Amino acid sequence: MIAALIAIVFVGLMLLGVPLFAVIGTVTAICLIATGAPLTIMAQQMFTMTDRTALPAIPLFLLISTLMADGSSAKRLVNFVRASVGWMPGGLPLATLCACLIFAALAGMTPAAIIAVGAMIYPGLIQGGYNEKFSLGFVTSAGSLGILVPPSIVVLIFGVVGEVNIEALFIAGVVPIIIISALFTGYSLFIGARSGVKREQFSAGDIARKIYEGFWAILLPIGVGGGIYSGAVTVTQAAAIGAVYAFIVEIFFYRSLKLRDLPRLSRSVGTMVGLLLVIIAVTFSFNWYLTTNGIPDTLTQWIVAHFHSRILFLLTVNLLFLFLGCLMDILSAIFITVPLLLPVAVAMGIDPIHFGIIFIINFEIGYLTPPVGINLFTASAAFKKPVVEVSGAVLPFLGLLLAALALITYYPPITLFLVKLTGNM
Amino acid sequence: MKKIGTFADRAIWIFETSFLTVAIAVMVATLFAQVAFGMLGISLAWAGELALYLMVWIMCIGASAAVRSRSHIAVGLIADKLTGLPARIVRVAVLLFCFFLCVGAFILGVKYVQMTYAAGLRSVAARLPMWTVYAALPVASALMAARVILLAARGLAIRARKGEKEPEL
Repeated sequence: MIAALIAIVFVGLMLLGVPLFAVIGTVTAICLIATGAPLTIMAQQMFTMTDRTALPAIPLFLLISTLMADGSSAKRLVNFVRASVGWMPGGLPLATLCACLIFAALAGMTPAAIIAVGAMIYPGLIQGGYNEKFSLGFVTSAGSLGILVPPSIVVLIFGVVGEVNIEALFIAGVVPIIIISALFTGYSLFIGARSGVKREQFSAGDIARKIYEGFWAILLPIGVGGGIYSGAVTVTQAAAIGAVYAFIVEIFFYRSLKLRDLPRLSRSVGTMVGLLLVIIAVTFSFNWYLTTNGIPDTLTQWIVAHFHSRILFLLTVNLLFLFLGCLMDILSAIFITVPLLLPVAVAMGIDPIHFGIIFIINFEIGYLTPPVGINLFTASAAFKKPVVEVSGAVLPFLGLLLAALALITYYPPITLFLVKLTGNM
Repeated sequence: MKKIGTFADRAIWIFETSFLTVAIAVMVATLFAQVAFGMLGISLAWAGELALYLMVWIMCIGASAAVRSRSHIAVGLIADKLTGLPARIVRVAVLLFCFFLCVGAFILGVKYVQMTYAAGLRSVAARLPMWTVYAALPVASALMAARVILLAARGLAIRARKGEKEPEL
């Protein structure tokens, strides 16, 4: 009875547009009062976030991406990528994909990536002879891939909320990224061949010039990614070094930012940190309530009793996530579902890292699914096309992503093989 | 009234922005120093602690800045469909709800700070009194309550619709 009431309050407040942190906070408070626990437990549990040493990585990566996007590093990176892979067969789409991966990862959230990269590369795709529908669909879908690449904020938050090893999550994402990129590139080769697209000229001089112009900017993703993947530094350490590096490069080498820009940039980073971490904080107190009352255990027992096979469970979870992905953004979904479903998955013998990757890919797809796929709206606004047209354009890519999702879900070694190899398991 | 509103908005804006700028700079510097000294074999245990506490403060003040820019994550499927009077009612109700929640969080925060102050809790490595960290909760709740009122005074909803920009100072 109480559970039903709480669910109604939860859904009602959300639909009315109450901010998510306030919704979770209210529900937690009601639960605590109903069980007679003192409300100060909420404050106490919120502040357990000071025990999570990986958390400062989130503000740091937001800072890096803000510095690079507001300065000139991001543009230099995109120019470099375009010069180095643009000449290959299917080169322009491939360059778009690489640029989106770099950019979405740096920006942490994909709509920003679409606008930034899209505005730079979309006209190039059209000029290169790709038709409008393909170009639109490609740019929109490629933008959603970056959430698997370090230092994706989504991966960081999944790791913190689910208490899963973040370095391992990043490593587990490598093969899925390659598979999806290969599918996308294959499709663009097919489209390119069918519509007789000419390849761009290979020019060693141009590549050299772009390397020269973007040298310091190129070193950053290599350094941060290399540091994390090799295990030389923790995610937070990599982020701290990266932030200082990006600051020095933008202010002193490229001079694209001035010291007086810093208050504005700090405010925008602080705002993002505020809106993300406040939800994490209230989620901690909500999770405390859930676990002390044995709710994940009850749910686990029920699911284990009713779902006899792992595959059936994963299939249901896939459908549930795809559905949720249409209704809410990935961060809200992480906060709401991970504390409940991750224990179930572990009880069913599914590795939490594998589960994390499935979760994230599901929501990448959610980004592209009508009616509330965020990328559809962003692309529609950025390229001045109706949402219906964008939705149609992404359909082939949705198909490819679903195929990749099926493969990754039902064949765990795709995600876990590298993690085992690097000794993170 | 309008003048007081503009003044309050500006004052809070300046406080938030200067606080965030300094706190982020110090946090980055501390963590960087920890890595740099770590390479020399010197471990700065207090640095990690300090960075986490600064992050708590950045989070709280940033949450207030996010009320100003109306960028807090919300779903609002129903709210988006409404127009006219029903939309206004929902908007005001949500703002009121958020205001009372902020007041509640403020009272809770003050209680918690009093508790930890009386208990004399200190952090493990830096030996900082813990109430200085927990004080972020009442301070931020008070700022957010003020921000919610300022939004209501301007007739703005708690969350911006797609494409809406943050109002100028």
